[in-house]
Amino acid sequence: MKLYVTFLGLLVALQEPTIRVNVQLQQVVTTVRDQSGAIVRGLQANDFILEESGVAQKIAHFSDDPAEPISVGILIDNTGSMGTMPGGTISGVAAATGLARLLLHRLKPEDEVALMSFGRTFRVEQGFTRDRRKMEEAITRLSDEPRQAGANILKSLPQSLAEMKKAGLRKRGLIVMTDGYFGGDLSDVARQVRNAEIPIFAFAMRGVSQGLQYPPGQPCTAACHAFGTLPPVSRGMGGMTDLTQRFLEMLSKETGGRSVVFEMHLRDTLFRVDVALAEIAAELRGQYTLGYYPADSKKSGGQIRVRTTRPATRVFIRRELEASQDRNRN
Amino acid sequence: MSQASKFTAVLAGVLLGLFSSQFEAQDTVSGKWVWAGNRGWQRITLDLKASGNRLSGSISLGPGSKASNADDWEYFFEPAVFPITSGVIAGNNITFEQAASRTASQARGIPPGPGGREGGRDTVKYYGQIQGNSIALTRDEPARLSDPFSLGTRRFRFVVHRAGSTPSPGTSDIRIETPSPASPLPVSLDVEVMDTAGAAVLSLTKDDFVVQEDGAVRPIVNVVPPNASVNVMLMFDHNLTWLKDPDSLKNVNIQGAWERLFQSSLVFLSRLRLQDRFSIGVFEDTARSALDWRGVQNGRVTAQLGDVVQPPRGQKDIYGMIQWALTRFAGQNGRKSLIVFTDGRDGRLSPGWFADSRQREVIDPLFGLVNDGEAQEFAETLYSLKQSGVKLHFIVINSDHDPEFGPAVVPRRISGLYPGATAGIRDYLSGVRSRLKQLAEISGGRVLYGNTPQDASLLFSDLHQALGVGKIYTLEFQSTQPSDGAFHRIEAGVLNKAFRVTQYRDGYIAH
Repeated sequence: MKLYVTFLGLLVALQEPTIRVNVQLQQVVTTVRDQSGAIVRGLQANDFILEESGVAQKIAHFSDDPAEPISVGILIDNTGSMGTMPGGTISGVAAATGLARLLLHRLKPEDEVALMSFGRTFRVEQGFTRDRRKMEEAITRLSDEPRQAGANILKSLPQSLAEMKKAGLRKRGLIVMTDGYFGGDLSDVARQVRNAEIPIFAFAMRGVSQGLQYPPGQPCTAACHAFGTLPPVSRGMGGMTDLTQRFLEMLSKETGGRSVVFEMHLRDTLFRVDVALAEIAAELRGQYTLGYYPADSKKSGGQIRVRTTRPATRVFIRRELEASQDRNRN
Repeated sequence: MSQASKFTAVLAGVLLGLFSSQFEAQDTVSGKWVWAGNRGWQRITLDLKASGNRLSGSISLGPGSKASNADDWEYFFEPAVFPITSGVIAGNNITFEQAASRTASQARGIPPGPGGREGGRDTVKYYGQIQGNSIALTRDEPARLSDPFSLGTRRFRFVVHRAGSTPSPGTSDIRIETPSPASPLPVSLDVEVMDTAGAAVLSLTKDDFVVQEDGAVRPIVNVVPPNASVNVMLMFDHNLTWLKDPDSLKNVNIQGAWERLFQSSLVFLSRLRLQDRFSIGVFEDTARSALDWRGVQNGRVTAQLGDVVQPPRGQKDIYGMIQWALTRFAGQNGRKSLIVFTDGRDGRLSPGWFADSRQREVIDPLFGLVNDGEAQEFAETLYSLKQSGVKLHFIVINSDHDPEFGPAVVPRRISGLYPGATAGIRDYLSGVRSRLKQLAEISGGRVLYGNTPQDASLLFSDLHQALGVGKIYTLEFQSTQPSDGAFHRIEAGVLNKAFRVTQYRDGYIAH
C-alpha cells in the first residue's frame, strides 16, 4: 500500500509543471434605461462599450438571462408615522407588510430575500434566505412590533446597503417602503447610495392628501383641519418634513431604480402596485452582466464607464468585486 | 334490585343525561364559525371552545390571509383577533364579550380631543342562538354618553355558519321603521295663490281652500297665512370640512368658501321682514347657539370664521342636533324653519374601527349592515320632527366625496384596496341621502344639493322661495292614512276658480 502511494506521488511529480496565472474576471452588472426611464431589453455584448480608466475593454463574458435568480432586500420604515395614515385605508406599516407578502408571492422559489427595518434602530429582521416561512415569520414579527421613532431612513439606507453586500446572487436590488417623513440632508446619503451601486426601488406610502399629513401625536388645530395645513413644526418633531418627492427623485437618479407613490385610497392602487412589483422584478432580472479581463492588469480597479451604442440610453452599473476566479492555463 | 341499587341507577341516569346534554352542547358549539358578507371587509370568524356551560375562544374581525393562493388584496390585511370572555352557554343560547376592544386611534395613542377621550368602547357583547349549523348573533355596543366618538348604540344582527358550510350573504339594505305616532298628526302643504293678473292673493282663510288626499277631501285643521312671522335657524356643521375642495391638495379654499357662504347667508337674512326672526347655531358632536333669536333690524350680523370653525371633537350628531334645534323653536310663533348646512353624514352611519393587542386595525366588518340602534334613533328623530311643525331644509355641499371615516383626527377611507368598496361607498352615500330626504320630507322641507360653496347663493335663492316669506299659505289637514311608508298624492284648490294655486309639493310619504 505504502509503495503504491509513493508511486502515485512520483507520477504526479514527474508530470509537466502547471503554469498558474491569476487573472481576475471583472464583472459589471448593468441596468440600461431609455429617456423615459423604461428598461432597455434585448441588448447584445457588442451593444456595450466598456472602459476602465479610459481604456476600452473587450467583453469576454455577457449574460442577460432573465431566468437568473435575484436577491431582493426589503427595507421597511417602522417609525411612528407609519403606524397611521391619515385618509388611508390601512396604516403605512400594514401597506408595507402587505407589499412584502405580495412581493414574496411574485418571486421565484430560487430568488433570495432579506427583510430589514428601522424604528428605534436599524435591524436585519431576516438575512438573505430562500425560506419563505422564515420570511413570513419575520414580516409578522415586524408588524407586531410597536412603531418607534429613532432611526431615520437617511441613517438606515447605508446600513441596509451594507447588508445587501451579503446577497448571494449577482442580480440584486433593494426595495424601500416608507412614508417619506424624515429630516436630514439628502446629499450625503446620495453619495453613499451612488457608491453602493445597488438599484433602489422605493414605495412611498401616502394617505389621501399631503395637506392632511401630520405626524401622529401632534394635536391638529382648527386650522389644520379646516384649511388642511400642517401644524407648526415643534421642537419635538426634530424638524421632520415631507421629503418624499426629493427622496424618490434622488433614488431614481443615483441608483437606476424607480419609485412608486402608493396612494392607498385610490381605486386603482392594487393594480398599480401589481404593475410596479412586476416591473421591479422584470428590471432586476433584466440586468446585464458584462465580464472582462483587464487589458492592463496593473491598472485594474480604476474607474469603469459603460455606455451603449444605442442613442439616449443611461447605464447604471455595479461592479461585482467578489466575482473573481482563477483560470488555469496549461 | 335493592332500593340502593335503584337509587344508584336513577342517579347514574340523571348524571348521564346531564353530561350527555353538556357534551351535546360542546359538540354543537365548539369549532369554527364564519360570517362573510359581500364586501371585502365583511368577515368574522369565531373559534369557539365549550367546556360545560362555559364558552371561550376568540373572535377574529376582518379579512386577510397568509395563504399562497390568497387574492392579491388579502395580503394587505390581517384580521384583528380578540379573546372571548364571559362566555356562557344556556341551552341553545350563547352570550360572550369581545375583550379588550379599542379603536385604532387608541391603539396608536392619538391624544383625545377636547370633548373627551377618543374612541373607546367599554364592551362589545354578543348574544346568539344556535340553529343547527348556524348561530344567529346580535352584536351590541352601548353608547357612552361621555364619549363623543362613541355616538349612538350600535346593534347588528348576522348569522355565522359552521366553517365549511354555506356562508351567509351580507346585506346593505337600509330599512327604517318609524314608530307610529299616538294620534295621527296633521300633514302640511305650502301653496301660493295668484289672481288672473298674476298678483299674489294674501287674504284667504281656511274656508277658501279645499284639500284632497289620494282623491278624497280632507278636513283642513289650520291655515298659516302669508303674513305670519317666520322663524329661521341657520345651523352650520362647524368644522367646515364639508366645504373642502376635493381637487385641492391643500384645501386652502375653506376661508374663501366660508366667506362666500356667510355673505350668501346675510343676503338671505336681509330679505326677511320686520316680524321675522332668526338665530344661528353650530354643531358637530354637540350643538350650541352662536347667535340667539333676534329680529333682522337688531343691528348688523357678524360672524367670524373662528365662531364657526372648531377642531373636530367627535362624531357628527345630526339627529341630536335636530332634537336640540327643535327645543330652541319652543315659544316661537309663526312658521318655523331649520336650515342645516352640512354633508349630512351622521356619525352613527360611519363604521367603527377596532384594534387588537397586536395593533391590528380593522374596520368594523359589520359596516354596511342595518344598524338597529341607528335605525331606532333615526325613527325617533323623524317622529319628533313630524310633531314639531318645524320645516327642515338641508343645504348639502360636496356630499358625493369619497367619505372619510373613523375618529375625526385620523380620518380613514375604505376606498382603494377592499373589493366591493365602490359599491359599499355608494350604499353608504345613498343611505346618507335617503335619511336627509326622509327628514326633510316628513317636515315639509327640502334637500338642496350643491357641488361647490359658490352654489350656496343659488341654493339660498331657492330656499328663500321655499320659506314662502310673505306669500305662502301653509295648509294643515288631517290625514287618515296609516304610516305605511307609501306616497300619497295631495291636491289643493280654492273655491274661487279664477285664482291659480301653486303647490310646493305633490304629495308626501306617510312615515
